[in-house]
Amino acid sequence: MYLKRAHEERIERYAGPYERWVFSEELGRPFAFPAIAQGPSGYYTALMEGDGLPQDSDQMSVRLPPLWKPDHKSLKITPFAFHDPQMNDPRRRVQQDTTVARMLGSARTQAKRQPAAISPRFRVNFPAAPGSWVNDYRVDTAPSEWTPPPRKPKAIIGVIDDALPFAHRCFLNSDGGTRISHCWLQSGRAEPTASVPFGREFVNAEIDGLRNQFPADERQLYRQAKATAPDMPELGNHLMRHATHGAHVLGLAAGNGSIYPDYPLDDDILIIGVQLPNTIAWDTSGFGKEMYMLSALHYIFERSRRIARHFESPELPLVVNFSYGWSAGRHDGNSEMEISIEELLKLRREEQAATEIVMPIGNNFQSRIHGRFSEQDFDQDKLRVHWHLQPDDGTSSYLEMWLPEEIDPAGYTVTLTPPDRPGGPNPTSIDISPDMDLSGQDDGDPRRFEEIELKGEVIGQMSADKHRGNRWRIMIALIPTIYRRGVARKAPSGTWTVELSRSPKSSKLGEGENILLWLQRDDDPSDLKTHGRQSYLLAPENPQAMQFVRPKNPVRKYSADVPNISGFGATNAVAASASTTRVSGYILQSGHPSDYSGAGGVKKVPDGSYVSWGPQPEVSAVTDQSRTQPGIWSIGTTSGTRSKLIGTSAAAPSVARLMVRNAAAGRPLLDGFGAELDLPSTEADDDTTMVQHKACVGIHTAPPVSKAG
Amino acid sequence: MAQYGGIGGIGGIGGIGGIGGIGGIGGIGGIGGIGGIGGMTGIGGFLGAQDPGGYSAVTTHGLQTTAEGLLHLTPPGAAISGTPLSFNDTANNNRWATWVRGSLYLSEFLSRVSYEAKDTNSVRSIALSFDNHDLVELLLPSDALLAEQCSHVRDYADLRGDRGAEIVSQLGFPTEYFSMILGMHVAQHKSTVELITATQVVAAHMAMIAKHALAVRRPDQIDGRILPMIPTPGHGSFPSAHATEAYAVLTVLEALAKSWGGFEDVDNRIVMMRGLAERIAVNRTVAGVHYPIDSWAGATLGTAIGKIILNLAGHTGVPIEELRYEPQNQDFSDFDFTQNGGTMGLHSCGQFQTSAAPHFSWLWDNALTETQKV
Repeated sequence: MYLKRAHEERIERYAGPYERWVFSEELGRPFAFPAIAQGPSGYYTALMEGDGLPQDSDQMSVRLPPLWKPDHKSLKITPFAFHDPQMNDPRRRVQQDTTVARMLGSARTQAKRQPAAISPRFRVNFPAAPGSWVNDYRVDTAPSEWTPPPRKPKAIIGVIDDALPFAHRCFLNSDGGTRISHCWLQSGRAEPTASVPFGREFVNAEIDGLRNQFPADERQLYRQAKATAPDMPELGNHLMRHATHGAHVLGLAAGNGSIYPDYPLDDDILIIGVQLPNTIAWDTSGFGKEMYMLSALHYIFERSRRIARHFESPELPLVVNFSYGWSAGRHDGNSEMEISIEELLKLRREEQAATEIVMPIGNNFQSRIHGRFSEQDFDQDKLRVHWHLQPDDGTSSYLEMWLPEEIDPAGYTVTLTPPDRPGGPNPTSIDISPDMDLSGQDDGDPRRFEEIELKGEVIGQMSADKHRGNRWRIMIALIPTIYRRGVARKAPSGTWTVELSRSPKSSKLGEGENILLWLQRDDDPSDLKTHGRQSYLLAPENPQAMQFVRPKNPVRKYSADVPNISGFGATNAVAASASTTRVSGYILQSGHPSDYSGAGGVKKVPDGSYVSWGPQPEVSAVTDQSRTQPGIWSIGTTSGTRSKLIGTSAAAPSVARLMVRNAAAGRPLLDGFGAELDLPSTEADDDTTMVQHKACVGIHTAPPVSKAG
Repeated sequence: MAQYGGIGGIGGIGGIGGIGGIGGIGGIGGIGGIGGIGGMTGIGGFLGAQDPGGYSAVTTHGLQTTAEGLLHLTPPGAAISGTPLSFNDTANNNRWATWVRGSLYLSEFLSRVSYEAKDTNSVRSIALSFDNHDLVELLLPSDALLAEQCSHVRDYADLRGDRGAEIVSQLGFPTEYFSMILGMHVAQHKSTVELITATQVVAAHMAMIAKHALAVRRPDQIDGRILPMIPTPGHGSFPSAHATEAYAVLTVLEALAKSWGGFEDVDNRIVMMRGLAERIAVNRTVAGVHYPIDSWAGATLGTAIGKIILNLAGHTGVPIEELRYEPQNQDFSDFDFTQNGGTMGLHSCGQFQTSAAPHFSWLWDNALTETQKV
């Protein structure tokens, strides 16, 4: 049972429903990433939305990561970290959510004393590991050991990923020094003094020094550099593995060698890397990672500016590859990450037009994690969809339902009915309206919560919140379907039913308006032993319109009607900013889109034709050699090894590499790219098909960067 | 001639009328395979090698009826004297079955070994000596240290996916892995392979002496979460025999490869062999059957054994360090073993050299001729 918190201890006043779920002991915290489940850390990370900067209070001490912004501008969203000076109080162990709420309350009180356009809104993120907290953080200083290159660089490539093998030989220049200018391991073991607030920054001279010290043993190099730490889950031992996601991506984006024979990077293209904490890939919720992701982008921008200023140059061309994302979110450019990415790109392009952030479109085309419904899909003011949870799912599962921004949700209710089993929980309903008991003055977004209970224990949370004050979202969180970590509760696996109902007097959906559903990713791509299993959506028996109709030709990908639950629109929710370069994947041998590669949204308009909506891919790049040889080659973790990765994570860095080469040569960024991929000859030659095809492949095609076989 | 000796017993063979049962005889051939089984136990690649076992019953019977059919062709009378083989001479070694040479190497080494399980002032240890010189002393790890080491073992488990094939194929002696680095082929490196095997067998026996005395529980008995991916062997954990063997072989092959003078890139190969020895040792921790301190103790013992073998082989200029290892809670890596041993419990207490021995010298000299002069 969820214990009611006092007014000043409600975390969702300042944050959102994911924070409430993940930080509250009776809700999802026992199943969260070990660092949160075992807590308290005392070192938190967060975003602040609103003018000004977060400041110290008597309850928390604040530090800002290296930030990039034009001198006279303020940021819409600011990443920051904060420290709880009373972290060793044993009561903190069981009261993480209320502790965080009190601290954020003090920060807001502080901020409200400043004249500002809006009251700040926060999003709390995953704690930083105590071992990675820098004692003496020198704000706004340059890392002392950085050594300028002999000539002004022509361009910079940034890569944000996990386990980066920064000492790998393929990143050396022709003189044998590293081309990696700066590399920030956000969860690295802290040095006493540093130019980053947490983690460990390695700069070029340090990497060269390590390579000289360990010319023949890269694994020992990483151990000695404390770039591995089996006792710190956020950092882990991943550089001891044969292959990592980060090695593959960094190699494709910036490595030289026989795997990438046709598109080498010259010495005057520098590399800036950021290694994210493992938490980011571990957690299956849609929260908790933005601070790390956003400060990674700021770091790359900021260090690029330092390089340029050393040469008294304006900003240099910069291409950042960010092969990461999640699946549920607004997808309309108005989430915190989407706003921040757009703001960074726009502001920097004012100073340097060749500024790009390249991201994958996602791998969920076939995952059945997205649904789209319009007014015609309501049957007697009811809309139903099934949500199937797999047994043996060791992580929480999340569903988000987004209403159109303009709609008045009065009279709308969502009811969640469990699988039909003896002894199961009762259906739980939530009205889509503010709970007057929670909402007062400017205390957070209008919101409401219901707990899903089984025999008095919470197994799930339903929430309705007006996200960032402008769009209603219904979020459902369910705990794992197996007993985990000694907690005597689990959610029933099987088919749950989500029903959206409304009174006959309620507003109807307007023309072109949709109810949109996404599930969060729930797998384990980096082999972090999350034990998650992906849930999926199923169309109910009625109405018939929801059923998937197979294309007549068995090899066809595109059908004459796109069903409600389909891969069109199942795109990376972080890559939805207007200016982001989204990359989808294709099969080299056939030139067809990869089966799993995400696709932009498409929808039917009244005249029966289809149009696209929402974020669409811009470029296709190779993700698979052929159907029987999925994936493409790149480097393994240590020099001389190779690894294969399957997914659009490998498509994006191919594009980033080609772009930064063009930028360095002063060519248009898409120089050498082909037109859109041809429609496969097996597909029908009609407008509906072409809309779907374009949603899959975008408008440009990148040549293969890594060598086959 | 021996088969004639049995001829008196031929009456007994009447049982062979049951020839319908001959299908079962094929199984006897399997005896030769015992040598192979020895390889899996980690103790005797030599056991049974080149031992033909007995003939099949049919062959035995056929040989004897043939003998009866032929003997009438020769005259009766005394046999003529032959010439003697060299007395106590390694020149005969090539005449002996491989397993016989194996016994000789082992005896030559172990006859000069002595050991004592010490228990003084509550410090327990095993002290191994060679020619009455202190060789290696390994101190018994405390129960608290073993419990601490379990966290390392658990942390390594996530590499099982990467290392599974290596771990399973290294259950026995991983000679193939060394062969890979030195470009070896059985047809061209018969004696080198035998030297590797002799070194491994000696190392295994030495490790078993230490394991028995110290009697350290395996990690899976201390911590139920370790869940090893291979069967836990039926001997103590500390020191690791795999680490002992790998470091002994590394020490011998490093000297051999240099003496060959056959590779331009011999330094690179030696670096990789060192990496291999570390990896073989660590793989056992990944598998969940050894603590990192087992690798420390094994590498210590193995290095000492390798140097003794070089001395026995007459390879001069290799002092044998007298080593003492007092385990502490450290992870194992070759870098720490070679660079930081002094601060991690490994102490050198002196050094000595010892005299060459005939069988190891014979084997070493033969192996030297197998250079490929690349």
